[in-house]
Amino acid sequence: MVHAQSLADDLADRRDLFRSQAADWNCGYLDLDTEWFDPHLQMGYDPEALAHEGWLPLHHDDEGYVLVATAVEPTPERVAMIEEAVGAPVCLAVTSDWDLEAAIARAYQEDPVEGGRRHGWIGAGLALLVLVAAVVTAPMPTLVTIAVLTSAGFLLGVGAAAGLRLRAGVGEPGAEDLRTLLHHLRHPGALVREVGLRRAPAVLVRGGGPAAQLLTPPLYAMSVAALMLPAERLVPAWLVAIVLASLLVGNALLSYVELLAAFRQHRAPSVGGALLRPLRWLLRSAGAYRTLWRLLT
Amino acid sequence: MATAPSTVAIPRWQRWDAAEERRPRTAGRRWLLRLALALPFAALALQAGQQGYAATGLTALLPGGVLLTCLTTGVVLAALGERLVAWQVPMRLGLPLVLVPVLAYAGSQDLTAMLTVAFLALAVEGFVHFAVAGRSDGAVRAGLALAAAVLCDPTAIVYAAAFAAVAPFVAAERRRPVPPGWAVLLFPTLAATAGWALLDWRLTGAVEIALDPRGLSAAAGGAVLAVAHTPLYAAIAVVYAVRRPRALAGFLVPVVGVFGALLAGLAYSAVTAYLLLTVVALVAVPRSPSRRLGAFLGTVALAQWALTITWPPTSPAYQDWLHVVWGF
Repeated sequence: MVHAQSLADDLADRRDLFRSQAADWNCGYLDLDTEWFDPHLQMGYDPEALAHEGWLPLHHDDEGYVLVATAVEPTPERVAMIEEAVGAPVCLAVTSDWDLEAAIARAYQEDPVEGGRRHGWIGAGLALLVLVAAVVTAPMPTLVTIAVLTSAGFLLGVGAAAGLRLRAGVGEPGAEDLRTLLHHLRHPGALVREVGLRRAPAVLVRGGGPAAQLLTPPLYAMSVAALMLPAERLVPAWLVAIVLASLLVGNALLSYVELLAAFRQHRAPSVGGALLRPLRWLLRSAGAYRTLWRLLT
Repeated sequence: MATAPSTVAIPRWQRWDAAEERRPRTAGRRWLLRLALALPFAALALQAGQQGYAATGLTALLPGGVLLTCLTTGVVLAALGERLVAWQVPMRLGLPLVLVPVLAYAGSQDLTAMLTVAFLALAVEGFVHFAVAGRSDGAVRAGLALAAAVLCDPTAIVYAAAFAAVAPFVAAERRRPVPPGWAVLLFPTLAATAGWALLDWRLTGAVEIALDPRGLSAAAGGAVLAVAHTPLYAAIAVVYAVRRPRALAGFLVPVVGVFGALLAGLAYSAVTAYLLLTVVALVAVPRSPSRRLGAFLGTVALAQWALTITWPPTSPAYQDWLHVVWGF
């Protein structure tokens, strides 16, 4: 079985790897995000057994076959086993085990593997409740804490993304990176088991890019407020400086990394493109919120 | 099994690896050395405090600014010493830097000057590394050092502009392709300047840069005077002109910086210029100089030391320190 974990570790394009794996197995590759599920077809299966065996029936295709996603090499014995379970001829397509587990969770709403989106909602609701309570009881310390954590998280995440861009040539963080990060955060024990206690924080920091994208709009909002409003009447001047400096340094780093990448590849730098990268980053942060919403709902 | 020798000739200046040349070898001993080098300056600062001298500028603004200044001086001197030892440059060349009153003043009372000198020297060293050895990390190091320097002294913008202007010529002279480095050299400084100006405007309500242009001839005279105070710098420039002409452009940028600062009317101190040109000269001495070159540079260093004692560079703050603390 191909592990999403190991792919996330080196942050190579996970789907490209699965495509190559699918090619090795002489199968097609399936993007489960774009496939629709037939709830009637999926009734009657034990989701835990499906997750354990690494397959999921999706729907009937145009020729009457049942399209089945699998994360395990489709040997003739496995195909026969699946056809016997489905009771119809099947067409197998490869996807990653992590995608498959998420799809099983989505299909059966029990989330046997991921712990449940419901838990995510509960966690988000609790966090919101704590936040509201903190704002009501101690508004100033809460504001200061949020501003400092947002600034530090943004800088750390942008730094991680910059390091990956320069060392591994990785582009902007995407939805897959956010999913991987959330997966790690939900299963820290599994992460520690797979990569060890010493490497686990590094893996989490390397996933800081999508976290920084989520923190970008709040930091922009705080910076605009710090620029437009007489913020010093409410908060210390050093907090205004920290918020503005974090945004400026982070955005400068995003642009500088573009120039450095061109420099190291002996290319003439596209200064305009580099200067526009913070804008692209901001647009992508909207995409990160869309992905987060989809994962939660 | 015998291995055929490499046919690739690596220039002597290119064989450089910071990791293998750390001296002292352990971090603890390196910090001990830095602290030991900072101690004399701490004693000088204590003496100045007892005489009623109050530091100005950044040293006065920061809590524990005087101690920070002494520690910075210790770090800078230790780094410089490590570089001289690693490059097998005679230590006596450091005489006109270490045993002069201007360092006693700046090293104990002027944090801005020490930081500016350290960052600009790093920038020049990085650029020379880029120009001579074609190492792109040298240009990156220079760009970042310039950005740090501009936060201490706006004059660093002139240096960044000069490096960026020189970089294409350096690249054009090389046989193998060298990436265009102007953006890497210039961008960090401009970003730091713009960011600092925005913060300054937001927190103080105004961006104030005191400008006092001196005119073309006065600026040129000031630059020539700065070089006249530092014969060691002039001697190394001659060495570069003979051996590594393409790196000479980068080496001469500090003089352009002095000229530009005076022309634009930016804050200028002959003391800082002296320290800067001397430190730049020391970090730019070729690796493992021959006995003859070593003797020549040693003689020039001794001459510069004698010159500085008899004809010291001066600035109002330095004169005030001499007067209050030592009664001169």
